[in-house]
Amino acid sequence: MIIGIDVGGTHTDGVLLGINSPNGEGYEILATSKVRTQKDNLMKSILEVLDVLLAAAQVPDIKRIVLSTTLAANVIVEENYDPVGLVLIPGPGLNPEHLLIGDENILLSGYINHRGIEVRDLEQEELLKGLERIKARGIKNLAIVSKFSTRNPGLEAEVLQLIREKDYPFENISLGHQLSGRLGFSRRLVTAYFNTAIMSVYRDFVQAVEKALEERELDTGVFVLKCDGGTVPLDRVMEAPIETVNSGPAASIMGTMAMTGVYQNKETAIALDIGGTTTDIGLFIKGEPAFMPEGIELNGFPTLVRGLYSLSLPLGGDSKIAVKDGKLKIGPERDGPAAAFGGPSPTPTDALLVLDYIQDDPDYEGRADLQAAREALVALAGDLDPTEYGRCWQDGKLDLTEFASFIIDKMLASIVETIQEILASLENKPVYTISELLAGVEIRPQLLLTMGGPASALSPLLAEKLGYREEVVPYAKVANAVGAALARPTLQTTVRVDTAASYLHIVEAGIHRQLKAGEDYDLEEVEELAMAWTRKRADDETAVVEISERESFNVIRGFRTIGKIMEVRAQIKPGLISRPEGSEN
Amino acid sequence: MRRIERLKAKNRLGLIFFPAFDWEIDPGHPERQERLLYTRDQVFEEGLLDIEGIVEYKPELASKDDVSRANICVPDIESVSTVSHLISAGAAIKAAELVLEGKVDKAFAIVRPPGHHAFRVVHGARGFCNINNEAIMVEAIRKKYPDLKIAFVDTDAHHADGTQEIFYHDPNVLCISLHQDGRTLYPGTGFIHELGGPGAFARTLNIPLPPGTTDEGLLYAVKEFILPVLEDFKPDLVINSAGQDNHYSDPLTNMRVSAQGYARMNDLLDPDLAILQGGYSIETALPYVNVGIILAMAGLDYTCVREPDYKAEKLQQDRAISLEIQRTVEWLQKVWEERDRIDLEKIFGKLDKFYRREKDIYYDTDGISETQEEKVRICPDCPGYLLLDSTARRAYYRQRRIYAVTIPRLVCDDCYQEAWAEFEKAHTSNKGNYAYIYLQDLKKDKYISKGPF
Repeated sequence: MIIGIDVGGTHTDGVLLGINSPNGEGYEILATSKVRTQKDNLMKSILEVLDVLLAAAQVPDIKRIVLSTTLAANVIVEENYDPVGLVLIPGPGLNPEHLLIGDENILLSGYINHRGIEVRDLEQEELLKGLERIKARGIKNLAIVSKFSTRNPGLEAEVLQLIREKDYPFENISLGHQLSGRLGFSRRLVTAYFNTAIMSVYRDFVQAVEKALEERELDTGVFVLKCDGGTVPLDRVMEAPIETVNSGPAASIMGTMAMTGVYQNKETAIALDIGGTTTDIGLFIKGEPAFMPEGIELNGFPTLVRGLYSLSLPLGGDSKIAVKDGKLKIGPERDGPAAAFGGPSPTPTDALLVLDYIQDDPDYEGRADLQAAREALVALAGDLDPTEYGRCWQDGKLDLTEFASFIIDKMLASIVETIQEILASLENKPVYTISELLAGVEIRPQLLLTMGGPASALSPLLAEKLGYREEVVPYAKVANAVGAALARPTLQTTVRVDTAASYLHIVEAGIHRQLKAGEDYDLEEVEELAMAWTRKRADDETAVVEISERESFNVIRGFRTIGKIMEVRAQIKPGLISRPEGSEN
Repeated sequence: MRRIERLKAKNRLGLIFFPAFDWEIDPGHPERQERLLYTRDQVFEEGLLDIEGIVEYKPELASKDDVSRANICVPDIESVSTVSHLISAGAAIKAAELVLEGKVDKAFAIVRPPGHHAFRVVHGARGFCNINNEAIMVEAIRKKYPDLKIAFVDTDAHHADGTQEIFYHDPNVLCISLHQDGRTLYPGTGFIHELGGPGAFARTLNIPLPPGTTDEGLLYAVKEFILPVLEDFKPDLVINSAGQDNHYSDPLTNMRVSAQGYARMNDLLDPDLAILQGGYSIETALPYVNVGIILAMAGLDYTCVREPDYKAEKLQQDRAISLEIQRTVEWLQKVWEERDRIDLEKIFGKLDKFYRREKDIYYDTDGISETQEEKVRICPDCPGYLLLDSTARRAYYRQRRIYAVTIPRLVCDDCYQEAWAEFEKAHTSNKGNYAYIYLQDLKKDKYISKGPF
């Protein structure tokens, strides 16, 4: 049996799954649990849910527990962390002054160039003075970042080494090159900064989870869901806790993958999670969840954190409907529940009730005050500009049905427009080879997968506008928790071999070394190496690894080729541990 | 906790970055697959594409008509160019469209291969160029806006001979080229007395610079000559052909310009469009120069851009060089000042119906020798049309002779009729035994080729 627990902003959901056949095909939901999330005590919410689930099972039967939490995100959004000191080694280029985001910042001399060659070393004096400054401020958190550290982590490592030698009292330290194999100095810096910022809180959380599980004599593998839809073992999450930020949308997408046939049928589909305040839009391309190119954004700033593609539109079932300057406005705020449930303003849910679209939904049945919904909507109509909204009036009287339709149409139009923009921007993403340019990219979804309160009502309407088939994700309430429970471990390894400079990097494994005498590689061998190391780091020799990126270039001196630069990225793709997977697994 | 500021560009900058990683002239050649590899890495690591206001666009392919507006390809476009050339030209056109449509304030096409050594008639590749991407861009712009005044400032270390030739008789296109003196470097031209044809006198300006010129010399020429000229000419669009082989580390040239120099020069020129031309120091120059230019065009601080091996002491300009540049600039200033008062017949001889030029063009990349006779119609009302008689010889090849009639967009009706009559006569009688006969009618946007004969 497996347990998945998803801590959301409002609710914490848990699900107990039983694998119901010997070869791991299929699963069934044995028990579910839902409590309100206590923002300042996530542990409590998790344990409440866990205990309900454990009541339906024997402890030794539990083989796996996966947690998806908003812990990292909360700490960041609420700026609930201790001061962070930043050590920057940017070298020349873009003026780094806008990157001095630490509470104390040290700008060091020293520079690694794009070939990974140390052009200029650090100056010990300068470094020591800087570290003293940070120490004097009582700062315990540190992020150390240099340009091109993925090609040569030497300067970042040198700073760390000095810190250890001189026994500085810094507790939480992040080195840029350990968090991603990709390029992007400012992204790397922000990623390292936030990674360090969340470490203390995260460590407490991990310890609390370990203790709680010990108390319940649960001796099972515990995993944390990452932003990329994969999982990381609890005892390794502290290596890069930032990877677990924003795992909520990932849980939703993995849940959709688990509850529908989108993966088996290799469908290209749009996944919608229509919540109270926002609608989250995800994407499947031929059955696989799409990724954010480069990395996700945190607090509006791009990072190198790998994440599933997810766009959050500030439009949901409970968005406040208002009239401004005669025009109808839906959201972005949510003032409270629908007027039909005692809320202060009308919402799309009220319009759906008036239109009789959700009367059968057990959630709403019997508890909705239809009269309140009607009155709230009528109250708005008075301020509308009659020239634009003419169709809502019949012979001088408000046609409430027409008005409610109008509201829903407007909401749907926003969603459709956003989806079209997403597809256009992905299709227009720049490419750098002629063959890719000529091939072009076409992302043509055929299917709409919707979950959320108003899903069953809105799904057919949206699908019609988009020209897709539609499916409402079943058991949507626990889909997130199921997605988390079944998500398998993911891993990415970047291998870069520069035979001209005679260097080999297995970046995420922290290996940067010279090639030995006679050690040579061609692209295929580099790919083999990347895949082998991915399996090794995942502790799973049978894992299915794919090459997600590969490039190979000659290095010329004079007119001779003196070597090759090859860079390969191998990954275990996000997927589910318990589903028939055709020819794979 | 400090707020993380997202850097915002002052000018909305459109970037078309197309390194064509799967194309090259050949693996050992400077125009090879990895030419822009390190530049890509530097641009990514600097995070330039994350800056608000800097937006990357995909290039499109130039159409046949796009190419034919600027070049006459012998025997046809497919024989002398590949997809990579169409993309390079298409990217330039796209960059121009973005600016003209107001989607961006400025655009920079970092593309390969280059184009500024391609003349109007193209028998093959020369100076690594097959078709002239920037001329194609200008003619695409002028299809929409025929009366536009355009200024090219070509800051590549090599004389922009192809672009100069295409617009030699066009008074609306000011072609300014700064380059290493032609006596010391390919293509061996670009001297101060090359000033344009009689219908476009002083609309071609060449500033040869001595080998060893540094940032100082370059910026002197820009400030003392080019900027005042642009002030007088008042172009609607300024295009910087941003070749980067003036760099001190370039393997093919002898100049000593730095990334800071390039950035500062671009800043002073304030171009609407920039397009990469040459520049083959792919590891030690291109990454830094391009970062500098991108920042300058975006209106951001570029003063921290520096090559890792930059040493100011090694890049001091010789006094002799400074003096020579001063003299060149003085001479040119005088010409510019007196341009409208000059007696054209003193320069071009008696001007009756046609003005004739003989050209010897060598195609180093393909080993072709071309001789060309060009006749431009002298007309008081318009720039006139061109008649081109071109013979090309390859080392192992019989010669091939072609004839072409070029009708610019702004010709008067009489010249238009005359030019067409000339074309009809030529291809019906073919007295000269030409293999092919071409018509380039920019007025009606029609491009015809007759042959093989």
